[in-house]
Amino acid sequence: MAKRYPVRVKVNGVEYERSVEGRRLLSDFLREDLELTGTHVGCEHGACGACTALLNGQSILSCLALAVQVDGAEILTVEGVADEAKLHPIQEAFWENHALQCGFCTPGMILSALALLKENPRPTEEEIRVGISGHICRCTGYVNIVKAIQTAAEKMAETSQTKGTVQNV
Amino acid sequence: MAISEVDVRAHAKWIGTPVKRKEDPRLITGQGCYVDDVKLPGMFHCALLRSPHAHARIKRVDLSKAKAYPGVALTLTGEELAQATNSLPSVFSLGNKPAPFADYPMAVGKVRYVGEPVAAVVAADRYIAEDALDLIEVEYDPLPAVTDVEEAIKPGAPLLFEEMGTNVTWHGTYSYGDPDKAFAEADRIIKRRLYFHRYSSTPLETFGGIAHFERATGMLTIRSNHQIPAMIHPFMAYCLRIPGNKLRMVIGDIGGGFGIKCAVYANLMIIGHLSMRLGRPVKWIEDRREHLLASAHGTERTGYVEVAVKNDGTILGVKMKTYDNDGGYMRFPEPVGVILWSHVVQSCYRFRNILMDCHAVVTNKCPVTPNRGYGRMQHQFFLERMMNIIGRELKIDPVEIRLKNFIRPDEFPYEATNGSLYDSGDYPATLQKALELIGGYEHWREEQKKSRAEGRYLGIGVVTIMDSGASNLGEMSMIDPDIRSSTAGEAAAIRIDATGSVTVALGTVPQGQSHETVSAQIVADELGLSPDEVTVLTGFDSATHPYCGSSGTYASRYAGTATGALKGAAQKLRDRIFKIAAHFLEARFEDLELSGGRVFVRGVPQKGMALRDIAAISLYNPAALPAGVEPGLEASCNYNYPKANQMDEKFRANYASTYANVAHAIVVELDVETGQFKILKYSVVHDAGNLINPKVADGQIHGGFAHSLGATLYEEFVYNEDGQLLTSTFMDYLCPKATEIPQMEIGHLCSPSPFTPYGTKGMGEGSGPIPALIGNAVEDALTPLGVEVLGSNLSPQNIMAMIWKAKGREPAK
Repeated sequence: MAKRYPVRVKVNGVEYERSVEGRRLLSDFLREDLELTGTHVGCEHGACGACTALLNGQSILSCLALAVQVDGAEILTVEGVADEAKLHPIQEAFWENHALQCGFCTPGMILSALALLKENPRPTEEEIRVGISGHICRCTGYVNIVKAIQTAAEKMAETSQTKGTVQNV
Repeated sequence: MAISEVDVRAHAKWIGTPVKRKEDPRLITGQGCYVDDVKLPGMFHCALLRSPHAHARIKRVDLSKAKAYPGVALTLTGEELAQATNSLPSVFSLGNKPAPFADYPMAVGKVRYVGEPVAAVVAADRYIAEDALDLIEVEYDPLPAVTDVEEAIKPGAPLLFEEMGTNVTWHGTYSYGDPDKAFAEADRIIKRRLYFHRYSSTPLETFGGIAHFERATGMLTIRSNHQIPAMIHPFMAYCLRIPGNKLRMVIGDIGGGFGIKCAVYANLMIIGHLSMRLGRPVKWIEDRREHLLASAHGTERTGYVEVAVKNDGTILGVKMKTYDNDGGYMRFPEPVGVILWSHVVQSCYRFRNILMDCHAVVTNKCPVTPNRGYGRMQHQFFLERMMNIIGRELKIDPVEIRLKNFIRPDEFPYEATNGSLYDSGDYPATLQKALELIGGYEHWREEQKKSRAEGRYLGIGVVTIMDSGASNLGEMSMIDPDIRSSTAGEAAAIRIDATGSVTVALGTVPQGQSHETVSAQIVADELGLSPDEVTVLTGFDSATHPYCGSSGTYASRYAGTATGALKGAAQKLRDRIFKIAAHFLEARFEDLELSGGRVFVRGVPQKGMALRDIAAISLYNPAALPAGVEPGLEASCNYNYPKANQMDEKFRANYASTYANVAHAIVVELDVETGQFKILKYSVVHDAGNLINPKVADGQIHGGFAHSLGATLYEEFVYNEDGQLLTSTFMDYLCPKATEIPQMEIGHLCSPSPFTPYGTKGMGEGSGPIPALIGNAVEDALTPLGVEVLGSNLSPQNIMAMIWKAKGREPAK
C-alpha cells in the first residue's frame, strides 16, 4: 500500500479532511474524493484551463497541483461561486450573453474571470482576452465570453459603487 | 438587416426570439452531468495500453505481471476481445456483403497506427490501472509504415491489410451531366493539385463511457458522450452478441462533439465487453494525449481538380479525382466522408457536368471520422480556391466570377445535377451583404492599390458556399447500392402530466447546440405556453426516448428534422386537447384557442378550461372522453423530411435536407518577412432561413469560425515518416485562444425553406471554407510575388515557404 498523507482543506467554505496518496492530483481529489465534479479536466497538462480553481484567491490549474500541496489552504471551485441560490454577476453575465455552449470550459473560465476582475475591476477588451488566454473554449470562439466578462465588470463596478464595498470574490 | 428584423413566423411568440438558455443555470454552477461526473457503486476503471508503433506485428503480449498487480480486476488483449465479440460492422458490410477486412476495437495480430489499443486493464482506480499498464510486456515486430496517401497507393507500398492486396479500400466514379462534352467545349481547362490537411475540432471533453452490465437482468447500460447512440445501437448489440433490448445507451451532458464523437463507439465496445465479464460498472475516460493521438481525426484529402471554363468565366464542368487519407481503419461512417460532398456537389454554382472519382485509402495514421464541415469542407476548399485561380487566369475579378456562375434566386427550388434539391436562397445578395459588412469591396480594392504603392501586402478574400443540413444517409447507397436509406429524420415525444406541465424527450444528443432551449421555444409556441413551462429532458436514453434511424446530433440536422418531430407530436396533442375541450365546453373545435395554459373559445376567454383539467380528465376519467379520443395526454412523432428520397440507379438523390447559404469576406495584411498576417476585417453572412433562436445561431457561427481559423493558422496533426504523431499535446497542437480571434461582422438573410415546418434550415458548419477564404486573401495579398496557395494550412512557416518558392529561394535553415 502506497503511503498516504493527511490533507486538511477548506473548499467553498467547507472543511474537509482526507488522506491521499502523494501522487494524487488536486483535480482528482476535488472531483473524486470531494465529489465536486464542477471542476473539469480537459488536458491534464496545464494547457486548456478547464480545471482552474482559486487557491487562497489565486487562480491555479488543479491538474498541475497535487492534493498534498493544498493542505491548510482555502479553495474556491465553481460550486462555491454563487451565493446560495443567487448567481454571481459573472455567472449571470455568462447566462445573459450566451457565453457557453457545451459548458465544459465554463467553470474554469468563470474562476479565471473572477480572479481577473478581482485584480483588475475595469479591464479593457484586450485585457480580458489576455486574462482568459490560458483557457481553450472550442464552442464559442470566445466572442460572448469576452462580452460576458465586460458586462460583469460593469455590473460589479456599479454594485460596489452603490454599496461602497468591493464585490466579494 | 439586424437579426431582430428578420421575419420569423408572424404568429410565433417564441420561435425567432433570443430566449436565454435553459441549459445554463446548471452548467454555470458546476451542476452539469458529463460522463466523467457519474460514479456508480462498485465501479472499476479501465486504462488502455496503446501501440508505440505505426505499423508492427504483435509477436507476444505478456499480461502476467499486470494481472498480479494489487487492485487489478481484469486484463484484456485484442485477441481475447476478437474471440468474444463480432467485428465492427462497416459501410462495407451493411449491404449484407463480407467486409474486405475484419476490424476490432483493439489490435489483433498487428497494429496499424500509433496509439491503437493493444491491451486493457481494469482496476480499482485509474492510477492503479495505469500502473499495471506499465507492467505489460509487448513484443513487436516493426513493419515499414506509410503515411502519405499518394505513397500508399503506389505498387509495393507497405500494405495495412495484406488480404486486400491494396491500400485503396474503396473507389467510386460518378458522372453527372456530360463531363466529357463540357470539357470538349471548353475554351480552357484549368487544373491543379490541391491538399486539405488533417486536423480535428478536439472537443474539450475527451471520449468516455461507463458500461454497466447487470447479471441478474442481462441488461448492459452504457453511458457515454456518443453523438450517434441511436444509430450505432444495433451495431453495438451485434458486436457484443446481445439482443437490442438488452443494450441501453444513455447520454447526459456532452462537452463538445463537432462530429469527432461519432467515433466513441469502438471504445465503448471494449468497456461493454469488460463489464459483461465482470458484472460490475467499468468507466473509461480518455486522456488528452490519447484523444489527440488515437481517438479520431478529420479527413485529409489530396485532390486533382480540373475545371472546364469558357473565356467569359462560365464554368462548364468539374472533374475531381480525390484521395482521402483515412488512417488505419475504415470505421463507420467511412468511407462515406469521401463522397459526402454529394450534398453540395455544385456548391452555389450552375455547372451541372461533374465527374467524381473518389478513393478511400488506408495509411498508418489515426482513423478518421466526421468533423465539423464533414466531407464538404475539403470540397469547398478545392472549389473556392479554383474559383479564384480561374478568375486570375482569365483576368476576371473573384467576386465577378462567382456572381456570373451563381444559381439565380428565381431558380429555387433548384434540383442539382445529382438530384439534391436546393431549397431556397439568394446567393448574390448574401455575397453583396458580406462585402458591405467589411466596408465595401471597392473601398478595399482602392486601399489595396494604395498599400501596394507603399510596399504593403493587403489581401481581400471571399468565399461562398452552401451549409447543407440533415443528410438522408443515402450517401451509403453511393458506396453500395444494396444499402437502401432515406432517413433524414428525428423523433420527439411530448407528455402533459396531471399537473398540466409539459415534458419533452427527443432522439437528439446535443453537445452545446441548445436543444433544450430551442425545443422548449417550439413546443411553447405550439401549445400556448412559455418556454419556462416546458421541460426538455437532458440527453438521451435509448430505453425511454423516442428515436428514428438517423437520430443523433451531427450533420446540422436539428433545424431540418427535430422541428418536424416536435411539431408533429405537439399537433397530435393539440388535436386531442381541442377535441376534449370542444366536448366539455360545447364549442366548435375550430373556434378554440390554446394559450396561457388554457383552452378557450376565441374571443370569449372566460369560456375555457385549464390544460391541467383536460389532462386530469384524460388520465383519470377516460370514460368521460368523447368517442374515439385516446386517454392520456402524450404523443410522439417519428418525422422524416418530406423531400428525403432513396438513391436512384443513376446515383441521384436528395442527399441533404436543407441547404443554407453562407458568404465570407476578409481583408488581411501580410508581413512578408514573417509569414504572419493581421485580419483587418472579417464578415460572414448566413442565410439559414428562419432562425429559431438568433443568439444560438450566432453562437454556432462564432464557434465554427474559431475552429476553422485555428485549422487554417495553427492546428495540424503532423506525422513524421515513421508514422509518429509530432503534435500530440495542446502544447504543439495549438487551438486558438481568445487573443487570436478577430472581430467578426455577422449578417443574416432570410430565405425560409419551403419544406421545413417553420422555414428553418440546419446551420453551424458554414465555416468549412475558411481555409479557402484565407488562402484567397493571402494569394491576393501576394499577387506582386505571384504566389499560389495550394494547401489549406496557412501557418507562418507554410506562407514563408510559398514566398521563398516564389522568390526562387530555398527556405532558411
